[in-house]
Amino acid sequence: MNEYIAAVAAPLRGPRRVRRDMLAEIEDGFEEAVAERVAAGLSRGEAVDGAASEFGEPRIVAAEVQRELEAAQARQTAWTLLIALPAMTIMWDVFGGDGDPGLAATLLARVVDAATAVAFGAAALVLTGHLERRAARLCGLLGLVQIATALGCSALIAMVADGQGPTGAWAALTAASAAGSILVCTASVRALRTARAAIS
Amino acid sequence: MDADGIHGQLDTLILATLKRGEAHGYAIISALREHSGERLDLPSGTVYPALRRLERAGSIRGTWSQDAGRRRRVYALTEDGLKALDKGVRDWKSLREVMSAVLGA
Repeated sequence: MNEYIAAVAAPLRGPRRVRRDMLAEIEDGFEEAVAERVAAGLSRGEAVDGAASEFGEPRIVAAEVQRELEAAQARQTAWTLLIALPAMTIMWDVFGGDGDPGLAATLLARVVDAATAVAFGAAALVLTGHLERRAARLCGLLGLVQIATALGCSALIAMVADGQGPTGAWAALTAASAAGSILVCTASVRALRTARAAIS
Repeated sequence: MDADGIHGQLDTLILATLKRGEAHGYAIISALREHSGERLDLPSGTVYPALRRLERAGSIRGTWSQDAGRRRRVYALTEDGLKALDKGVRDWKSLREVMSAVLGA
């Protein structure tokens, strides 16, 4: 990687594959610009300087690339929210038992459903292109809020649920929920980190 | 004309370039320079993120290809891109009319 591309790459954060592909594309163009100048009779050093001048300040190019990385990360996180959150909700609804857990537990479960619906709705808006501004930050925040709400409410439900002992599927449901929660948390933190890397 | 001067028009210029045929990033940059009579003073590096943005919007389609041993992303205009180009041209003509009327040119 030449010095110019390294300077563009340095501040970038976001999905590795998209970042690698975009940098490879810019590097390919940069090398073509250098080759044109070398063919016109310049030395390699002069050609590199000329190409760097043509391609623009690395910070300006990096800022534009970072915007695309943020959009790509927002979409990745939105897909995770869109799939993992309803999957966890449906899983508990289907396998969590049929008994009445009591009013308090039911209300707490509705709070989790509301947090899930908000995060799911935002993810759907991002994926359909209706929400672009600060999409990565929003998806990251809503993902973490949903997980925090689900964990908090689940702990309270375990304390207040009326006479509903763990069912046979309880351990498997908890393990699957933990895996889903880790997935959502990881994707959310990535989105927040990418959004925080915005270059001005 | 510098980057500020074409602010908001870069997408239309790229779409117009791709209407002539598919091309990779640096070929698009060269075509923009050539068709503007070398008057377009745009940081070439900013064209690549613009291509990704247009691809995300569905206006162009990018595919990786091998060209003389080099892996390159080649872009082509889509149907949506053609519509976006038509709208960009209409908007530009409208802006030009407004500017001419106000400036008395």
